[in-house]
Amino acid sequence: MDQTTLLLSGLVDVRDRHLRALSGIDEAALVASPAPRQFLNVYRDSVRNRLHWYLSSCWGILDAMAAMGEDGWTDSFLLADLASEATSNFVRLAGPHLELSRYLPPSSRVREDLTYLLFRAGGLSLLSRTHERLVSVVIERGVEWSSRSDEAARSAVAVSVPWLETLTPLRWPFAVHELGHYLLPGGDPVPELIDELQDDHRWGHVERGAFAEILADAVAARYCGPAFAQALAREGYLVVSLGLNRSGRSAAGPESLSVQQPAARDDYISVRRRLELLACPELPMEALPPAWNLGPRGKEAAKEPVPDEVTVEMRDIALGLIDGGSSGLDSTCIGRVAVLMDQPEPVAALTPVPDRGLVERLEMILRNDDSPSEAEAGGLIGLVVQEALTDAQIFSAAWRNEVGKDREAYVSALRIDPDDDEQLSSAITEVATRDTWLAQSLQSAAVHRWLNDCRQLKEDFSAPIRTRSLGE
Amino acid sequence: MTAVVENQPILGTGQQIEYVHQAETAALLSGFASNAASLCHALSRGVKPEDLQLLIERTEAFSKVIVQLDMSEPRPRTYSDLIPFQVWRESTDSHDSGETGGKVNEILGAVKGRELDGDKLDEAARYFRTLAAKLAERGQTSLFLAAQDSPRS
Repeated sequence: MDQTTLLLSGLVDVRDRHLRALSGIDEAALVASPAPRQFLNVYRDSVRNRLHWYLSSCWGILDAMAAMGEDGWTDSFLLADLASEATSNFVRLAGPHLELSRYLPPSSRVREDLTYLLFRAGGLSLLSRTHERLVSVVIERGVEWSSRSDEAARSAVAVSVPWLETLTPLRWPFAVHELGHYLLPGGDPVPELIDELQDDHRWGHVERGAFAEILADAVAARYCGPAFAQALAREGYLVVSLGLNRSGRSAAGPESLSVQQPAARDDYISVRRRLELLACPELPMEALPPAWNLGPRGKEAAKEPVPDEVTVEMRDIALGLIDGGSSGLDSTCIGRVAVLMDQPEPVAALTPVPDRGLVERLEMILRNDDSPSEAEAGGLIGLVVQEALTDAQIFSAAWRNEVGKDREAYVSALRIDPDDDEQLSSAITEVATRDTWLAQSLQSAAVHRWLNDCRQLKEDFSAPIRTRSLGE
Repeated sequence: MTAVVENQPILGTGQQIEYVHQAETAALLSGFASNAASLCHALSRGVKPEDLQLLIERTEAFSKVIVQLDMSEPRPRTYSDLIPFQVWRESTDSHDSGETGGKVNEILGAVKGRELDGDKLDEAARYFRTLAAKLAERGQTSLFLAAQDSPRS
């Protein structure tokens, strides 16, 4: 991964957002009544025209880069222009996104698997009536992520997800981040906790806002692994604010949320600083394209609103609150999952890498028609029983494929002709298939883990009964 | 290729929709300026015009848009027609449309073989880059305000 390929992956991402919008509109039109369907078709044409405009802008610059030879691919001026195309064409999707949302049929609105993911991330039970009321997902008409809680029932959290982002689980780590603004894993409410810390550390509203972001980042990174940092980096340059806090007791306090002086999250801490604090080995800081401008913005020679040594202290406090920050992922395992997911196909579980000694023992048993000892039998069963993957492993593998391709692969993905129905349809199908398999991987792995937990629970219950009957 | 700023009807009412249309228009204008900047930069690095056809077409379209924006007293038919003028004027304090149009024509002249030295091309590239950044910032601000104004479905 280098600056140019990461930047090119961002260009393909904006292409994919257009393709997802087209795919989502097609799906919604299938079940819409006649009048909304007509409106949806108008927006389909509008998104397709925008995709044409975007890709031809990219081609124009890519042609210039190619004509300059190898120097063109590292030309900072043209790379900045490419980043600017991604940003401005992402913004141009906001109009159709806002207007078409009113014509979406109810069935295409909230995805249950996204809600279930938030329950898992929050350590909540789907079977608990109390927990059921704690978290909800609502569809945002705009293109920004946000979350809010009800003043009257402080523990209830509504995570607002842009319709377009419900279509791909790649972006769902942000939903976990939003949840982290209100609930810690296990259900402890965050705002009260931050109130106490603010008093203890005498933080002002800017420090409070920075800490809220750092804590929510830590929650998301712990649950989603390196995927969260990768998603954050690639989203961070597209929108200046990257989300708002809307609750009555927002990170900045309600007084700062005026129209004239909007309180963006960048007002508290830049995306670059957040990434530095996440210290994700899969996303080296030197790979971030300068053209993404992820540092403090808005003022000349802008500085971070909160000094670095304070944010480091805040990060340590946040990690302490969630019991450490490591998601404990094995890179080899993620590599194996990534290969399978790139086929693409759903991957919910993997057979563990076998221990060489155990394999030799198995061969010997088969050769000599031996019986394994009880201890060996457990290990041998382990050779064939698949281990359910975690959400972090699945997200990380998907993001490895998303940002780990080479330059030629990204350039070729940008070279589709959206006026050619066949090419367009094939590109839409490819993106939709990847999204579907990713969603199925997450959901199937969750069921697999749940069954394992049930089996374990049953064994735990049975053990004392067995022991008692043996004793009798 | 669309040679004019798209005038889209505002469906329904509301501050949020207006902000989003401002954001879109600013982003579109920013894209034009950014393409013009890329063209100047590539020409200054010795790339031949025949390798830059798409950027040239985009810059020609930009010159037509600027002619539209250069009207001192626009007579829009609808409120949404006003948005491009509003966005342009609010975001381009030192980049008036006359000056921008002049620079675009200089570049298109250079493409057609008229002399334009590397320094002038670099200066024009910086000019369009700054213009693109200002328009992009305007677009982002409008998008941000739209997000603040968002009702929930």
